[in-house]
Amino acid sequence: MNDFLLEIEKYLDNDMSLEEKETFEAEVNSNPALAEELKLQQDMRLVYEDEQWIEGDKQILKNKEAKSLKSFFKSKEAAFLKTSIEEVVIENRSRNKSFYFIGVAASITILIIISLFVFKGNGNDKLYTQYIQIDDIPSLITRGEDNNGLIKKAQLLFENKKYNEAIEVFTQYQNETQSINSLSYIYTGIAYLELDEFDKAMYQFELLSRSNTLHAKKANWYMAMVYLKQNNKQQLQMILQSIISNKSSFKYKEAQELFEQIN
Amino acid sequence: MLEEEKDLLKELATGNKKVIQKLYISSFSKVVNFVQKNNGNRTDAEDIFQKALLQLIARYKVKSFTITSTLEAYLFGACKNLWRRELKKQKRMITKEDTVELLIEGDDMTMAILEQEKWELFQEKLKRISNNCKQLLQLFFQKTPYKEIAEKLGYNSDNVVRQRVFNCKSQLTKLIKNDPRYNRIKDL
Repeated sequence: MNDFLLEIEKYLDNDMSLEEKETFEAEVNSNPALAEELKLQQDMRLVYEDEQWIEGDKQILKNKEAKSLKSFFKSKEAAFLKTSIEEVVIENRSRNKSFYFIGVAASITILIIISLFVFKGNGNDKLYTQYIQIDDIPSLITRGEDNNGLIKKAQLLFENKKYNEAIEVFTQYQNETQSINSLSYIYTGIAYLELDEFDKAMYQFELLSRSNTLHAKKANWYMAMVYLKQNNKQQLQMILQSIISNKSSFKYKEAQELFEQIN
Repeated sequence: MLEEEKDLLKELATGNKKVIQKLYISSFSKVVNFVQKNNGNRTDAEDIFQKALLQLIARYKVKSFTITSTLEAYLFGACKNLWRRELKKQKRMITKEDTVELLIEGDDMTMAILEQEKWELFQEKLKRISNNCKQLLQLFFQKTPYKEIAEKLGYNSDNVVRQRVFNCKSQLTKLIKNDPRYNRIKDL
């Protein structure tokens, strides 16, 4: 065995010349004992390296031992056991959820209490949260249409407040799509806004205003939201005034209200 | 195996939900942590946890398997390996290394058990050799250069390390080959 081992080590360490390698490989093909030893040494390296799993040769499924395992997995008993295990896991899943909701509810209460103190000094954040109304944005996912998969994914990420990831997917969508759904500018803009990336948010609302669609008129309002969150009072006043100057403006009433509140 | 573990295993094998729940409480959070740290999510962890339990029962029923550690330690180890196995499968499918054959569930579970047995045999034998050898081989298998090993363990030269590695590896190989289980898994 030890004679083999030296050669095998050299082979596995890639320490052989091309010629030596060829001779060795020919030897492996004609000598089953050497082949077995080589496989064992290869396996040892993989197992002990602890990096990746080694998958076995499926031929072994034909032997007796494998067959008794296979028939167990096919049995009614195994099916019953599988169901029992699954049921316990599912029960715990819903239990965890309710814990989760209790947790969320508790943290919201705490947040509200904190906000009573904090937001007094920083009214704009409170106003922003009050007026941004994320839930009111029409959904990008429409029924019965051939929906773009990216859009769906992006909106879901957005709804789960994973703004960074949502931006990534929206950007991909905007880059790859010919006729871009202008709502995507609103979503992307707000995602940036949530992350306090004001310039990038602004750019999205610029694109929206130039989009030549029904939604284009909404751009002013969202730009106002940028100025509001950014604490840019002068710009905010100006844009609110331009919204208020036309009664048919998007969010006319809200703009009026907000204008009064900041002055 | 401890009496208590024996009873637990026996009860688990009947599908006793209380025992399953007990194991869920004691092990699942660790499994989730491990899976999430390694490119998986909670659903993956649930899947792996279920498979590991069924695998354990199958080994107990078909092969009269006994556990040398605690049930929790075994279970966590089995979950880790099943997840690594899953990652390997995913990688193979993405890189299309070879034509992907999808096995039916029972066949795949069977393969997982046989692969796990092989892994256990290798790990067990590594524990049997001397501490010196074990330390040396662990460095070697983690692809530490001979020079570095020499420095770390205080050997005079690369060549001494090379010789020591060779001897230790011969011992380890012998231990593996002399175990009756080796003949059953050598074609795997």
